[in-house]
Amino acid sequence: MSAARRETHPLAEEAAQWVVELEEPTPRVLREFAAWLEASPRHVEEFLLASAVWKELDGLDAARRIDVQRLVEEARSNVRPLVPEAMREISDESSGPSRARRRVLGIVAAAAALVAGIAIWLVMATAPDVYATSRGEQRAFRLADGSVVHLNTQSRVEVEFTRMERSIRLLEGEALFNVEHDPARPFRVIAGPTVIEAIGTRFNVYRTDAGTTVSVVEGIVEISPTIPPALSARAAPPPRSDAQPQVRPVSVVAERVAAGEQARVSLEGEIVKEAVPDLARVVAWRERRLVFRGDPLEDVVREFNRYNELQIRLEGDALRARRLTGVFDADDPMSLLQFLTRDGTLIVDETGGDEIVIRER
Amino acid sequence: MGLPDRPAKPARRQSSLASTAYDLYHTALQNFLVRRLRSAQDAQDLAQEAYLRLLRLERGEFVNKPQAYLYRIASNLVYEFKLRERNDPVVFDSEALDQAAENPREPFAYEASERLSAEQQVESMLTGLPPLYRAVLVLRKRDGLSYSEIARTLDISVHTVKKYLARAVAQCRSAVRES
Repeated sequence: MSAARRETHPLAEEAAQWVVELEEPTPRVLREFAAWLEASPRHVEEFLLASAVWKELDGLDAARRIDVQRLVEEARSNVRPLVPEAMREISDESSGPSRARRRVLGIVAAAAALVAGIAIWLVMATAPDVYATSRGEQRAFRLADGSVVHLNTQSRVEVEFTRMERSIRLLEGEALFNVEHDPARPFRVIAGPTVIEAIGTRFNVYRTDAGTTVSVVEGIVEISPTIPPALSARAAPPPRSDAQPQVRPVSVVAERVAAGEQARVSLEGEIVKEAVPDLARVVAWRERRLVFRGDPLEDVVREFNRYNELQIRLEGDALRARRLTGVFDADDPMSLLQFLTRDGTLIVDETGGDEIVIRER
Repeated sequence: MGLPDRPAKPARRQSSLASTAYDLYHTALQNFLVRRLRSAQDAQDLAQEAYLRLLRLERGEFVNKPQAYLYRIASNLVYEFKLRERNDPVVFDSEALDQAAENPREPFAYEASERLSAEQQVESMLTGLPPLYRAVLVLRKRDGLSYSEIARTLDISVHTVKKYLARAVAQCRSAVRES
Protein backbone atom coordinates (compact mmCIF):
# COMPACT_ATOMS: atom_id res chain seq x y z
CA MET A 1 0.00 0.00 0.00
CA SER A 2 2.72 2.40 0.95
CA ALA A 3 4.34 1.62 -2.36
CA ALA A 4 1.18 2.58 -4.20
CA ARG A 5 0.87 5.73 -2.13
CA ARG A 6 4.42 6.71 -2.89
CA GLU A 7 3.86 6.43 -6.60
CA THR A 8 1.02 8.92 -6.70
CA HIS A 9 2.32 12.17 -8.07
CA PRO A 10 1.90 15.24 -5.84
CA LEU A 11 0.02 16.99 -8.65
CA ALA A 12 -2.28 14.00 -9.01
CA GLU A 13 -3.06 14.28 -5.31
CA GLU A 14 -3.71 18.00 -5.63
CA ALA A 15 -6.00 17.43 -8.58
CA ALA A 16 -7.87 14.71 -6.69
CA GLN A 17 -8.34 17.10 -3.76
CA TRP A 18 -9.91 19.64 -6.10
CA VAL A 19 -12.25 17.05 -7.53
CA VAL A 20 -13.38 16.16 -4.02
CA GLU A 21 -13.71 19.80 -2.90
CA LEU A 22 -15.74 20.73 -5.97
CA GLU A 23 -18.42 18.22 -5.05
CA GLU A 24 -19.53 20.57 -2.30
CA PRO A 25 -18.06 23.88 -3.46
CA THR A 26 -18.00 27.26 -1.75
CA PRO A 27 -17.34 30.52 -3.66
CA ARG A 28 -13.88 30.55 -2.16
CA VAL A 29 -13.15 27.01 -3.39
CA LEU A 30 -14.28 28.01 -6.88
CA ARG A 31 -12.06 31.07 -6.89
CA GLU A 32 -9.01 29.19 -5.71
CA PHE A 33 -9.68 26.36 -8.09
CA ALA A 34 -9.92 28.74 -11.07
CA ALA A 35 -6.58 30.26 -10.11
CA TRP A 36 -5.06 26.82 -9.75
CA LEU A 37 -6.27 25.78 -13.21
CA GLU A 38 -4.94 28.94 -14.78
CA ALA A 39 -1.53 28.34 -13.28
CA SER A 40 -0.47 25.53 -15.59
CA PRO A 41 -1.63 23.19 -18.37
CA ARG A 42 -0.27 20.38 -16.19
CA HIS A 43 -2.92 21.30 -13.62
CA VAL A 44 -5.58 21.13 -16.31
CA GLU A 45 -4.37 17.75 -17.41
CA GLU A 46 -4.18 16.28 -13.93
CA PHE A 47 -7.59 17.67 -13.04
CA LEU A 48 -9.20 16.20 -16.16
CA LEU A 49 -7.67 12.82 -15.44
CA ALA A 50 -8.70 12.91 -11.79
CA SER A 51 -12.25 13.92 -12.66
CA ALA A 52 -12.39 11.17 -15.28
CA VAL A 53 -11.49 8.67 -12.58
CA TRP A 54 -14.04 10.24 -10.23
CA LYS A 55 -16.78 9.98 -12.86
CA GLU A 56 -15.70 6.46 -13.63
CA LEU A 57 -16.38 5.56 -10.02
CA ASP A 58 -20.06 6.53 -10.45
CA GLY A 59 -20.89 3.01 -11.44
CA LEU A 60 -19.22 1.71 -8.31
CA ASP A 61 -20.84 -1.44 -6.98
CA ALA A 62 -24.17 -1.03 -8.75
CA ALA A 63 -24.93 -4.62 -7.75
CA ARG A 64 -24.55 -3.57 -4.10
CA ARG A 65 -22.27 -6.42 -3.23
CA ILE A 66 -19.88 -4.42 -1.09
CA ASP A 67 -20.65 -4.49 2.62
CA VAL A 68 -19.51 -1.20 4.13
CA GLN A 69 -19.85 -2.55 7.65
CA ARG A 70 -17.41 -5.30 6.77
CA LEU A 71 -14.94 -2.83 5.27
CA VAL A 72 -15.09 -0.79 8.46
CA GLU A 73 -14.46 -3.86 10.58
CA GLU A 74 -11.61 -4.85 8.33
CA ALA A 75 -10.12 -1.41 8.79
CA ARG A 76 -10.70 -1.23 12.52
CA SER A 77 -9.24 -4.61 13.32
CA ASN A 78 -5.99 -5.41 11.71
CA VAL A 79 -6.35 -8.99 10.60
CA ARG A 80 -2.91 -9.26 9.09
CA PRO A 81 -0.62 -9.44 12.11
CA LEU A 82 -3.21 -11.00 14.36
CA VAL A 83 -2.56 -14.66 13.68
CA PRO A 84 1.23 -14.77 13.66
CA GLU A 85 1.41 -12.52 16.71
CA ALA A 86 -1.06 -14.61 18.61
CA MET A 87 0.82 -17.80 17.80
CA ARG A 88 4.12 -16.33 18.89
CA GLU A 89 2.52 -15.23 22.09
CA ILE A 90 1.18 -18.70 22.78
CA SER A 91 4.46 -20.48 22.16
CA ASP A 92 6.21 -18.06 24.47
CA GLU A 93 4.07 -18.99 27.44
CA SER A 94 5.21 -21.60 29.91
CA SER A 95 2.88 -24.56 30.16
CA GLY A 96 0.52 -25.63 32.90
CA PRO A 97 -2.81 -27.38 32.90
CA SER A 98 -4.89 -24.31 32.29
CA ARG A 99 -2.32 -22.87 29.89
CA ALA A 100 -2.29 -26.04 27.82
CA ARG A 101 -6.01 -25.64 27.32
CA ARG A 102 -5.58 -22.02 26.48
CA ARG A 103 -2.96 -22.96 23.96
CA VAL A 104 -5.20 -25.47 22.21
CA LEU A 105 -8.01 -22.96 22.18
CA GLY A 106 -5.62 -20.35 20.89
CA ILE A 107 -4.42 -22.52 18.05
CA VAL A 108 -7.96 -23.51 17.14
CA ALA A 109 -8.87 -19.87 17.23
CA ALA A 110 -5.90 -18.94 15.10
CA ALA A 111 -6.80 -21.57 12.52
CA ALA A 112 -10.41 -20.47 12.55
CA ALA A 113 -9.36 -16.89 12.08
CA LEU A 114 -7.29 -17.93 9.11
CA VAL A 115 -10.26 -19.64 7.54
CA ALA A 116 -13.21 -17.55 8.53
CA GLY A 117 -11.75 -14.21 9.53
CA ILE A 118 -12.03 -11.92 12.43
CA ALA A 119 -15.62 -12.58 13.48
CA ILE A 120 -14.97 -16.10 14.66
CA TRP A 121 -11.76 -14.98 16.23
CA LEU A 122 -13.52 -12.47 18.43
CA VAL A 123 -15.97 -15.06 19.69
CA MET A 124 -13.37 -17.67 20.56
CA ALA A 125 -10.43 -15.53 21.50
CA THR A 126 -8.74 -16.27 24.76
CA ALA A 127 -5.28 -15.21 23.65
CA PRO A 128 -4.72 -11.47 23.31
CA ASP A 129 -5.82 -9.65 20.18
CA VAL A 130 -3.15 -7.70 18.41
CA TYR A 131 -3.88 -4.52 16.51
CA ALA A 132 -1.20 -2.83 14.47
CA THR A 133 -0.69 -0.02 12.01
CA SER A 134 2.00 0.30 9.39
CA ARG A 135 3.88 3.47 8.58
CA GLY A 136 1.55 6.32 7.78
CA GLU A 137 -1.55 4.37 8.79
CA GLN A 138 -4.01 5.19 11.56
CA ARG A 139 -6.98 3.27 12.78
CA ALA A 140 -9.49 3.23 15.57
CA PHE A 141 -11.31 0.29 17.07
CA ARG A 142 -13.87 -0.29 19.75
CA LEU A 143 -13.07 -2.84 22.41
CA ALA A 144 -15.53 -5.32 23.89
CA ASP A 145 -16.26 -3.02 26.87
CA GLY A 146 -17.04 -0.04 24.63
CA SER A 147 -13.71 1.69 25.15
CA VAL A 148 -12.17 3.10 21.99
CA VAL A 149 -8.51 2.91 21.02
CA HIS A 150 -7.10 5.21 18.35
CA LEU A 151 -3.84 3.84 17.03
CA ASN A 152 -1.31 6.16 15.48
CA THR A 153 1.23 5.32 12.78
CA GLN A 154 3.60 2.35 13.26
CA SER A 155 1.97 1.26 16.48
CA ARG A 156 1.00 -2.03 17.99
CA VAL A 157 -1.20 -2.97 20.93
CA GLU A 158 -2.17 -6.27 22.43
CA VAL A 159 -5.58 -6.38 24.06
CA GLU A 160 -6.55 -8.85 26.71
CA PHE A 161 -9.76 -8.65 28.69
CA THR A 162 -10.57 -10.95 31.54
CA ARG A 163 -13.31 -10.87 34.16
CA MET A 164 -10.94 -9.12 36.52
CA GLU A 165 -9.19 -6.57 34.40
CA ARG A 166 -8.82 -4.94 31.05
CA SER A 167 -5.20 -5.04 30.02
CA ILE A 168 -3.62 -3.43 26.98
CA ARG A 169 0.02 -3.64 26.09
CA LEU A 170 1.40 -0.83 24.00
CA LEU A 171 4.19 -2.74 22.28
CA GLU A 172 5.20 0.12 20.04
CA GLY A 173 4.13 3.61 19.02
CA GLU A 174 1.27 5.76 20.22
CA ALA A 175 -2.36 5.30 21.15
CA LEU A 176 -5.21 7.42 22.47
CA PHE A 177 -7.57 5.67 24.85
CA ASN A 178 -11.19 6.56 25.50
CA VAL A 179 -11.99 4.42 28.47
CA GLU A 180 -15.47 3.21 29.46
CA HIS A 181 -16.10 3.43 33.15
CA ASP A 182 -16.10 0.02 34.87
CA PRO A 183 -14.97 0.08 38.52
CA ALA A 184 -15.03 -3.71 38.71
CA ARG A 185 -12.45 -4.10 35.98
CA PRO A 186 -9.51 -1.72 36.05
CA PHE A 187 -8.26 -0.55 32.68
CA ARG A 188 -4.48 -0.89 32.48
CA VAL A 189 -2.14 0.16 29.73
CA ILE A 190 1.29 -1.43 29.96
CA ALA A 191 4.05 0.33 28.03
CA GLY A 192 7.30 -1.52 28.61
CA PRO A 193 8.07 -1.10 32.30
CA THR A 194 5.30 1.44 32.82
CA VAL A 195 1.77 0.70 33.93
CA ILE A 196 -0.97 3.27 33.46
CA GLU A 197 -4.22 2.61 35.23
CA ALA A 198 -7.35 4.50 34.38
CA ILE A 199 -10.94 4.50 35.41
CA GLY A 200 -13.26 6.23 32.95
CA THR A 201 -10.94 8.65 31.24
CA ARG A 202 -9.26 9.74 28.03
CA PHE A 203 -5.51 9.71 27.70
CA ASN A 204 -2.72 9.41 25.17
CA VAL A 205 0.31 7.15 25.52
CA TYR A 206 3.37 7.58 23.31
CA ARG A 207 6.16 5.07 23.61
CA THR A 208 9.62 5.82 22.18
CA ASP A 209 13.08 4.37 22.67
CA ALA A 210 13.70 6.88 25.44
CA GLY A 211 10.61 6.10 27.48
CA THR A 212 6.89 6.73 27.60
CA THR A 213 4.87 9.95 27.66
CA VAL A 214 1.38 9.85 29.12
CA SER A 215 -0.91 12.84 28.51
CA VAL A 216 -4.28 12.97 30.20
CA VAL A 217 -7.13 14.68 28.37
CA GLU A 218 -9.94 13.81 30.79
CA GLY A 219 -10.08 12.20 34.24
CA ILE A 220 -7.17 10.82 36.22
CA VAL A 221 -4.71 8.02 35.63
CA GLU A 222 -2.23 6.42 37.95
CA ILE A 223 1.22 5.59 36.66
CA SER A 224 3.54 3.02 38.16
CA PRO A 225 6.97 2.89 36.63
CA THR A 226 7.50 -0.85 36.99
CA ILE A 227 5.24 -3.73 36.14
CA PRO A 228 4.49 -5.84 39.15
CA PRO A 229 5.37 -9.41 38.09
CA ALA A 230 1.87 -10.53 38.97
CA LEU A 231 0.61 -8.32 36.18
CA SER A 232 3.11 -9.41 33.60
CA ALA A 233 2.04 -13.04 33.99
CA ARG A 234 -1.18 -12.48 32.24
CA ALA A 235 -2.61 -15.97 32.31
CA ALA A 236 -3.99 -15.50 35.80
CA PRO A 237 -4.17 -11.81 36.58
CA PRO A 238 -4.93 -11.38 40.27
CA PRO A 239 -7.90 -9.36 41.39
CA ARG A 240 -7.08 -5.83 42.30
CA SER A 241 -7.25 -6.43 46.06
CA ASP A 242 -4.23 -8.75 46.08
CA ALA A 243 -2.39 -7.06 43.25
CA GLN A 244 0.58 -6.81 45.62
CA PRO A 245 3.63 -7.81 43.58
CA GLN A 246 5.40 -10.99 44.68
CA VAL A 247 8.80 -9.47 44.01
CA ARG A 248 8.86 -5.86 44.99
CA PRO A 249 9.94 -3.84 41.98
CA VAL A 250 12.83 -1.42 42.26
CA SER A 251 10.61 1.63 42.41
CA VAL A 252 6.91 1.57 43.08
CA VAL A 253 6.22 5.26 43.43
CA ALA A 254 2.88 5.59 41.75
CA GLU A 255 2.04 9.02 40.37
CA ARG A 256 -1.41 10.38 39.79
CA VAL A 257 -1.74 12.41 36.65
CA ALA A 258 -4.85 14.51 36.08
CA ALA A 259 -6.46 16.08 33.05
CA GLY A 260 -4.24 18.73 31.51
CA GLU A 261 -1.09 17.10 32.83
CA GLN A 262 1.42 14.84 31.26
CA ALA A 263 4.05 12.54 32.67
CA ARG A 264 7.25 11.41 31.05
CA VAL A 265 8.50 8.08 32.30
CA SER A 266 12.10 7.25 31.55
CA LEU A 267 13.27 3.69 30.99
CA GLU A 268 14.74 3.80 34.49
CA GLY A 269 11.31 4.45 35.94
CA GLU A 270 11.77 8.13 36.70
CA ILE A 271 8.54 10.09 36.34
CA VAL A 272 8.56 13.78 35.43
CA LYS A 273 5.18 15.46 35.66
CA GLU A 274 4.34 18.71 33.88
CA ALA A 275 1.37 20.68 32.67
CA VAL A 276 0.35 20.17 29.03
CA PRO A 277 0.36 23.63 27.46
CA ASP A 278 -2.06 22.66 24.73
CA LEU A 279 -4.27 19.59 25.01
CA ALA A 280 -5.50 19.86 21.42
CA ARG A 281 -1.94 19.36 20.32
CA VAL A 282 -1.71 16.04 22.15
CA VAL A 283 -4.52 14.53 20.09
CA ALA A 284 -3.86 16.47 16.87
CA TRP A 285 -2.32 13.35 15.37
CA ARG A 286 -5.82 11.91 14.92
CA GLU A 287 -6.30 14.51 12.17
CA ARG A 288 -2.84 13.67 10.86
CA ARG A 289 -1.69 17.12 11.86
CA LEU A 290 1.75 17.68 13.31
CA VAL A 291 1.85 20.66 15.64
CA PHE A 292 5.17 22.09 16.77
CA ARG A 293 5.74 24.92 19.22
CA GLY A 294 9.42 25.79 19.37
CA ASP A 295 10.43 22.15 19.20
CA PRO A 296 13.95 21.10 18.23
CA LEU A 297 14.23 20.17 14.56
CA GLU A 298 15.45 16.74 15.58
CA ASP A 299 12.05 15.98 17.18
CA VAL A 300 10.20 17.51 14.26
CA VAL A 301 11.99 15.27 11.78
CA ARG A 302 11.45 12.20 13.93
CA GLU A 303 7.71 12.90 13.91
CA PHE A 304 7.62 13.21 10.13
CA ASN A 305 9.65 10.04 9.73
CA ARG A 306 7.08 8.11 11.75
CA TYR A 307 4.48 8.72 9.06
CA ASN A 308 6.36 8.53 5.80
CA GLU A 309 8.41 6.15 3.75
CA LEU A 310 10.47 9.15 2.80
CA GLN A 311 12.97 9.55 5.63
CA ILE A 312 14.61 12.84 6.50
CA ARG A 313 18.05 12.91 8.10
CA LEU A 314 19.67 15.97 9.68
CA GLU A 315 23.40 16.51 9.66
CA GLY A 316 25.05 18.65 12.31
CA ASP A 317 24.18 19.30 15.96
CA ALA A 318 23.39 22.96 15.41
CA LEU A 319 20.83 22.03 12.79
CA ARG A 320 19.26 19.37 14.97
CA ALA A 321 18.88 21.87 17.79
CA ARG A 322 17.17 24.54 15.68
CA ARG A 323 13.71 25.37 16.97
CA LEU A 324 10.64 25.24 14.83
CA THR A 325 7.04 26.33 15.23
CA GLY A 326 4.40 25.32 12.75
CA VAL A 327 1.48 23.10 11.85
CA PHE A 328 2.01 20.50 9.14
CA ASP A 329 0.22 17.73 7.35
CA ALA A 330 1.88 14.56 8.63
CA ASP A 331 1.75 13.00 5.16
CA ASP A 332 3.49 15.87 3.49
CA PRO A 333 7.19 15.96 4.40
CA MET A 334 7.84 18.08 1.33
CA SER A 335 6.01 20.96 2.99
CA LEU A 336 8.51 20.81 5.84
CA LEU A 337 11.40 20.84 3.37
CA GLN A 338 9.93 23.83 1.61
CA PHE A 339 9.51 25.60 4.91
CA LEU A 340 13.08 24.85 5.95
CA THR A 341 14.75 25.82 2.71
CA ARG A 342 12.92 29.09 2.18
CA ASP A 343 15.68 31.23 3.69
CA GLY A 344 18.43 29.55 1.68
CA THR A 345 20.67 28.59 4.59
CA LEU A 346 20.12 24.86 4.19
CA ILE A 347 21.09 22.33 1.55
CA VAL A 348 18.72 19.51 0.75
CA ASP A 349 20.31 16.42 -0.71
CA GLU A 350 17.69 14.29 -2.46
CA THR A 351 20.04 11.91 -4.21
CA GLY A 352 19.51 9.12 -1.69
CA GLY A 353 16.19 7.79 -3.02
CA ASP A 354 13.97 7.32 0.03
CA GLU A 355 16.30 9.33 2.24
CA ILE A 356 16.68 13.08 2.18
CA VAL A 357 19.66 14.64 3.92
CA ILE A 358 19.57 18.22 5.18
CA ARG A 359 22.68 20.11 6.21
CA GLU A 360 23.67 23.68 6.80
CA ARG A 361 25.22 25.55 3.95
CA MET B 1 -19.07 0.31 15.70
CA GLY B 2 -22.48 -0.09 14.17
CA LEU B 3 -23.51 1.61 10.99
CA PRO B 4 -26.89 3.23 11.34
CA ASP B 5 -29.49 1.84 9.01
CA ARG B 6 -30.36 4.47 6.53
CA PRO B 7 -32.12 4.23 3.23
CA ALA B 8 -29.71 4.50 0.37
CA LYS B 9 -30.15 7.60 -1.69
CA PRO B 10 -29.80 7.37 -5.42
CA ALA B 11 -26.33 8.48 -6.38
CA ARG B 12 -27.51 10.38 -9.41
CA ARG B 13 -30.53 12.49 -9.96
CA GLN B 14 -32.85 12.10 -12.89
CA SER B 15 -31.40 14.36 -15.51
CA SER B 16 -33.20 16.58 -17.95
CA LEU B 17 -32.68 16.16 -21.66
CA ALA B 18 -30.33 19.12 -21.81
CA SER B 19 -28.13 17.82 -19.06
CA THR B 20 -28.29 14.35 -20.61
CA ALA B 21 -26.74 15.80 -23.71
CA TYR B 22 -24.17 17.38 -21.49
CA ASP B 23 -23.63 14.05 -19.72
CA LEU B 24 -23.16 12.44 -23.07
CA TYR B 25 -20.44 14.86 -23.93
CA HIS B 26 -19.05 14.31 -20.53
CA THR B 27 -19.14 10.53 -20.94
CA ALA B 28 -17.29 10.88 -24.21
CA LEU B 29 -14.77 13.07 -22.45
CA GLN B 30 -14.12 10.75 -19.62
CA ASN B 31 -14.08 7.62 -21.76
CA PHE B 32 -11.52 9.37 -23.84
CA LEU B 33 -9.48 10.33 -20.82
CA VAL B 34 -9.62 6.99 -19.09
CA ARG B 35 -8.65 5.29 -22.33
CA ARG B 36 -5.93 7.84 -22.92
CA LEU B 37 -4.45 7.59 -19.47
CA ARG B 38 -2.03 5.13 -20.94
CA SER B 39 -1.22 7.37 -23.80
CA ALA B 40 0.20 10.34 -21.97
CA GLN B 41 0.70 12.33 -25.15
CA ASP B 42 -3.01 12.52 -26.08
CA ALA B 43 -4.10 13.62 -22.65
CA GLN B 44 -1.34 16.22 -22.65
CA ASP B 45 -2.31 17.60 -26.05
CA LEU B 46 -5.91 17.83 -24.98
CA ALA B 47 -4.99 19.54 -21.72
CA GLN B 48 -2.68 21.96 -23.49
CA GLU B 49 -5.36 22.99 -25.96
CA ALA B 50 -8.03 23.17 -23.24
CA TYR B 51 -5.71 25.35 -21.18
CA LEU B 52 -5.21 27.80 -24.03
CA ARG B 53 -8.94 28.05 -24.68
CA LEU B 54 -9.60 28.44 -21.00
CA LEU B 55 -7.21 31.40 -20.77
CA ARG B 56 -9.23 33.08 -23.51
CA LEU B 57 -12.41 32.97 -21.43
CA GLU B 58 -13.71 36.04 -19.76
CA ARG B 59 -12.30 35.84 -16.25
CA GLY B 60 -15.42 36.67 -14.26
CA GLU B 61 -17.51 34.02 -16.00
CA PHE B 62 -14.78 31.45 -15.63
CA VAL B 63 -14.33 32.00 -11.89
CA ASN B 64 -18.05 31.49 -11.31
CA LYS B 65 -18.10 28.05 -12.91
CA PRO B 66 -14.52 26.96 -13.61
CA GLN B 67 -15.29 23.26 -13.58
CA ALA B 68 -18.24 23.48 -15.96
CA TYR B 69 -16.29 25.64 -18.40
CA LEU B 70 -13.31 23.35 -18.38
CA TYR B 71 -15.50 20.30 -19.00
CA ARG B 72 -17.31 22.07 -21.80
CA ILE B 73 -14.07 23.05 -23.50
CA ALA B 74 -12.47 19.66 -23.06
CA SER B 75 -15.62 17.84 -24.21
CA ASN B 76 -15.76 19.92 -27.33
CA LEU B 77 -12.16 19.10 -27.97
CA VAL B 78 -12.81 15.40 -27.59
CA TYR B 79 -15.78 15.65 -29.93
CA GLU B 80 -13.63 17.39 -32.51
CA PHE B 81 -10.91 14.89 -31.93
CA LYS B 82 -13.21 11.93 -32.52
CA LEU B 83 -14.74 13.37 -35.65
CA ARG B 84 -11.31 14.10 -36.99
CA GLU B 85 -10.25 10.56 -36.16
CA ARG B 86 -13.06 9.18 -38.27
CA ASN B 87 -12.31 11.62 -41.08
CA ASP B 88 -15.79 13.06 -40.74
CA PRO B 89 -16.44 16.69 -41.40
CA VAL B 90 -16.91 18.61 -38.18
CA VAL B 91 -20.65 19.10 -38.01
CA PHE B 92 -22.53 19.76 -34.88
CA ASP B 93 -26.06 18.40 -35.20
CA SER B 94 -28.18 19.19 -32.18
CA GLU B 95 -30.91 16.79 -33.31
CA ALA B 96 -28.46 13.93 -33.53
CA LEU B 97 -27.26 14.84 -30.11
CA ASP B 98 -30.78 14.71 -28.70
CA GLN B 99 -31.26 11.31 -30.28
CA ALA B 100 -28.03 10.24 -28.77
CA ALA B 101 -29.37 11.36 -25.43
CA GLU B 102 -32.43 9.12 -25.86
CA ASN B 103 -30.36 6.18 -26.91
CA PRO B 104 -26.76 6.76 -26.00
CA ARG B 105 -25.46 3.60 -27.58
CA GLU B 106 -26.33 4.36 -31.15
CA PRO B 107 -24.13 7.15 -32.41
CA PHE B 108 -21.36 6.27 -30.03
CA ALA B 109 -21.75 2.52 -30.33
CA TYR B 110 -18.08 1.83 -29.85
CA GLU B 111 -18.34 3.26 -26.41
CA ALA B 112 -20.21 0.23 -25.13
CA SER B 113 -17.07 -1.85 -25.21
CA GLU B 114 -15.09 0.98 -23.73
CA ARG B 115 -17.68 1.16 -21.02
CA LEU B 116 -17.37 -2.54 -20.25
CA SER B 117 -13.64 -2.47 -19.88
CA ALA B 118 -14.04 0.64 -17.78
CA GLU B 119 -16.20 -1.31 -15.33
CA GLN B 120 -13.52 -3.93 -15.05
CA GLN B 121 -11.10 -1.13 -14.54
CA VAL B 122 -13.09 0.20 -11.61
CA GLU B 123 -12.92 -3.23 -10.01
CA SER B 124 -9.19 -3.47 -10.46
CA MET B 125 -8.65 0.10 -9.30
CA LEU B 126 -10.43 -0.66 -6.05
CA THR B 127 -8.56 -3.79 -5.11
CA GLY B 128 -5.42 -2.00 -4.00
CA LEU B 129 -7.19 0.52 -1.76
CA PRO B 130 -7.25 0.35 2.05
CA PRO B 131 -10.67 -0.76 3.36
CA LEU B 132 -11.62 2.64 4.78
CA TYR B 133 -10.92 4.37 1.47
CA ARG B 134 -13.20 1.85 -0.20
CA ALA B 135 -15.87 2.34 2.48
CA VAL B 136 -15.83 6.11 1.96
CA LEU B 137 -16.00 5.71 -1.81
CA VAL B 138 -18.94 3.31 -1.63
CA LEU B 139 -20.87 5.57 0.77
CA ARG B 140 -20.34 8.50 -1.56
CA LYS B 141 -20.65 6.96 -4.98
CA ARG B 142 -23.10 4.14 -4.44
CA ASP B 143 -25.16 5.44 -1.53
CA GLY B 144 -24.90 9.13 -2.43
CA LEU B 145 -24.20 10.37 1.11
CA SER B 146 -22.87 13.88 1.71
CA TYR B 147 -19.43 14.30 3.25
CA SER B 148 -20.85 15.13 6.65
CA GLU B 149 -23.17 12.11 6.51
CA ILE B 150 -20.20 9.90 5.70
CA ALA B 151 -18.23 11.47 8.54
CA ARG B 152 -21.04 10.71 10.97
CA THR B 153 -21.53 7.19 9.67
CA LEU B 154 -17.88 6.25 10.01
CA ASP B 155 -17.16 8.36 13.09
CA ILE B 156 -14.38 10.32 11.41
CA SER B 157 -14.05 14.02 10.57
CA VAL B 158 -15.21 15.61 7.31
CA HIS B 159 -11.59 16.60 6.75
CA THR B 160 -10.62 12.92 6.90
CA VAL B 161 -13.48 11.91 4.59
CA LYS B 162 -12.22 14.32 1.95
CA LYS B 163 -8.66 13.23 2.44
CA TYR B 164 -9.52 9.54 2.00
CA LEU B 165 -11.57 10.30 -1.11
CA ALA B 166 -8.79 12.36 -2.66
CA ARG B 167 -6.21 9.69 -1.91
CA ALA B 168 -8.48 7.03 -3.31
CA VAL B 169 -8.89 8.99 -6.54
CA ALA B 170 -5.17 9.69 -6.82
CA GLN B 171 -4.34 6.04 -6.24
CA CYS B 172 -6.99 4.85 -8.70
CA ARG B 173 -5.53 7.18 -11.25
CA SER B 174 -2.06 5.68 -10.80
CA ALA B 175 -3.56 2.19 -10.91
CA VAL B 176 -5.18 2.91 -14.27
CA ARG B 177 -1.99 4.27 -15.68
CA GLU B 178 0.06 1.32 -14.54
CA SER B 179 -2.30 -1.50 -15.49
